[in-house]
Amino acid sequence: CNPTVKIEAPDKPIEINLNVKIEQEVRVKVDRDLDDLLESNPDLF
Amino acid sequence: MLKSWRRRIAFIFLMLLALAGAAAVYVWIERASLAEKVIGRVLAARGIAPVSFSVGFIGFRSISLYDIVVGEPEDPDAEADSITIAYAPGELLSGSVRSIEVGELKLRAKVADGELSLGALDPLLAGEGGGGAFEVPPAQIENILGRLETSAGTFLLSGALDIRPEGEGLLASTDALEIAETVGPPRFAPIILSGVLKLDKGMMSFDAAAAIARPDASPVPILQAEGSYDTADKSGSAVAKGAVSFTEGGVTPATLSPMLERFYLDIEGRVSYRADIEVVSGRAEVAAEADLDRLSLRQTAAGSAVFSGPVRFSTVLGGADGSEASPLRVELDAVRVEDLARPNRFAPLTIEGPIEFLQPVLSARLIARSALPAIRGARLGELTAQYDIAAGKGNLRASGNLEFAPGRLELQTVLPLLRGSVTRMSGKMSYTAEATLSDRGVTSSARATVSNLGFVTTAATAEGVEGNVRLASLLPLRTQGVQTLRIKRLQAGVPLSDGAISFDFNREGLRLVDATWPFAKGKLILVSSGGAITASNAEFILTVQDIDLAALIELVEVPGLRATGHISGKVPVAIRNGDPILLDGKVAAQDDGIITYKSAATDAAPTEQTKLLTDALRNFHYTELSGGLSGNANGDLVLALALRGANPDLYDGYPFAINVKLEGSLAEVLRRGTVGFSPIELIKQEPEPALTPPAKKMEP
Amino acid sequence: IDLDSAKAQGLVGEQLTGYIGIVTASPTPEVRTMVNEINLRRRASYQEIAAKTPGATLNAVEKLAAEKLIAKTPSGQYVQNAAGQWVKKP
Repeated sequence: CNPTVKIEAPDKPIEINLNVKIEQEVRVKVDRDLDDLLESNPDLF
Repeated sequence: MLKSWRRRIAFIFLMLLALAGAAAVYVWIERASLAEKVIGRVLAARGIAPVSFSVGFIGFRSISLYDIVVGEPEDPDAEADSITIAYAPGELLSGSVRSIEVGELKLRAKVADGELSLGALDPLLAGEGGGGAFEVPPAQIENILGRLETSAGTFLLSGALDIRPEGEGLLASTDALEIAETVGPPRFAPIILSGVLKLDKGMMSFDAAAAIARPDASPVPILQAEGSYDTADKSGSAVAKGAVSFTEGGVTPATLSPMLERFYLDIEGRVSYRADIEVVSGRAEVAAEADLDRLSLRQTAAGSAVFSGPVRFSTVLGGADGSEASPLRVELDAVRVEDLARPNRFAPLTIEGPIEFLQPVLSARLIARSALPAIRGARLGELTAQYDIAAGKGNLRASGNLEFAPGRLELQTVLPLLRGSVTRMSGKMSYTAEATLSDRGVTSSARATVSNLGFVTTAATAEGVEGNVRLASLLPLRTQGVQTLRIKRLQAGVPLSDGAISFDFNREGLRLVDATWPFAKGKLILVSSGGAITASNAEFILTVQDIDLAALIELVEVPGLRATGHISGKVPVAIRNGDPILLDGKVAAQDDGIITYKSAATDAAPTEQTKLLTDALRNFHYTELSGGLSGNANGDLVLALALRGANPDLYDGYPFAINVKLEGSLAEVLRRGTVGFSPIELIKQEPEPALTPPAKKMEP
Repeated sequence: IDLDSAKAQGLVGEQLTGYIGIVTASPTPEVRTMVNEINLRRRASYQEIAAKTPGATLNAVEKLAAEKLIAKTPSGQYVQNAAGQWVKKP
């Protein structure tokens, strides 16, 4: 015989909690641009 | 015999002598009445009649008359209280006198088409009467009170006058002769003349200075003039130069002309001027140039402004018959106009072009150009105006085509009120504006068409803005109901394209009625919530409508991730110092869908949790998908995703509850092509410990 | 009035946000307009840098700019300290 397994309504779904932080290391890329910006606009900065 | 003969001659001589003595005595006693008859006859012979006077004192050196009346007694042409004539006996016989002194002289004169007439005293002028003109002796008139009636009005001349012969003619000079209008409301304040006037057989020349009399202050010098005029052929020329400085409490327009009182013209600044007058057969052509030196006009209907620069005037006075009024033509070469309001409503500009004044209508067609150094001369628009001074009504129409370019012509450089709220403007704008001025105040309307307009504001950068805006009023700013503009690209934290914005600017202020962007096969709709949009307060509701997850993921470009289904929801947004802040927005999928994620390679050691997640997501059928969205669109956003459903191939489709909290520059994620991180980096942080999987692990 | 003299007179100072803040309690309209315009032009420039740098948000660029600007501020002029108060740079 093949056992029949009845799965009652599950009382508890499998819970997955996930925290994702998207860190963007942009310091290097932006640094040079900012220096140029500050230098070329003395009236602004 | 001889003796008697000589005695008879002596006797006759004595008799003659006695007779002469008696006559002399008689003459001496009766000299007054005799003189009256003699002078009366002499004047009559000159055609000056009727004349009445009494002789006061007669001496060898002088004779004084008093109560002189010339002309009809009830309406005399001239009256004098006393005239003293000094003479040397011999000269008297030849008709010349040494000098005449006149006390109070009242005179009446008329000028009709260039002809001066003194009524009964006319013969004095031209000398037609009998024995030629008196050789006019030097005469000092202590106080002349002349009434001059001319076509331009009736004037009263009063002051001291000195008349003396000069070569063939006569020289009149005065150091204070006041001319004032006597009939009707005075159009100009009394003028005090000083200078000399030479009359020489019809040829008149003068060199005089004029000043405006003031009741309780010293006279204001306004001009110095010299010129000559031939009364015969009525032609001549004159030059007048002068300057006036208007100051508050000092000289005001009303000082010059009381008629201007009702206009409350609050003017300050200096005007210097020069006028050249050419008279040809009675027709005077006037060409004048005035130089405005920071002439400020305050409290006009359109606020106050400062004018500087050259203004040229030309007009014709007295045509051939002196009747047709000719217009006063004004030409502005480049008059600089600066707004006095703080902060300026408009940047300094120059206006040039003709203005015409044909009583009572003033009309102008001017071109306005910017006076800002960076864009000097840039044409801002054309202004046509009509103003009826008498009716106090007028209208004004301005139109122009502006081509903006950052750093050069930009709207905020021309309208400083916009400085700080918009910058980096590019694209084209054409506008027309109308305004009507009347005693009910100013009504105005305007229409602007923008094409490919780009600009940066605090909250967003716009490109390719197209459309028309109708304004129901300029001051205060009001749109004509809701206005709509299409925006090719808008960058407000999130890049949005092909949007249409409808806004309304009414009494409460600016309100975003509807702004819709197609987004991932659905729509994003932004609407004002809260009060009107101001710099410090701008609150909206962002409605997410039927966003297709498949399209969204295509935007996000996460390799290996697929999803079906649609999401909608509402996200309150507040602009805080320029950053769009999302305040706990809720989005959810209305129906079920499938999410499949096949990650290429996972170099990071998969934790128990992440392995379970990736297995579940391999073919996740969700029944519930909802997200909470909050944070700063220009910075870090937080997306809290809640998924309910199961993967049929995993644990027999055992139900899963997946909660993923995504934090970071999520808006960046939407900037296609610039996102330089791989999904793996997505799962960097250690997940929180989760519940262990269900005890029963049934493998089918 | 320009930025340097406003800073020298202690009317304005560099904030943590990369923008200019008004220090004086009673700024004139000119100072207010100048600050608004300078900040807007700074924002436009920061936006440009963020747009061309993958993954860089506007806020990230602003924050980095703030660090540079505060570092560059001569002593005696106002800057915001970590707690956001105005302090004279030592």
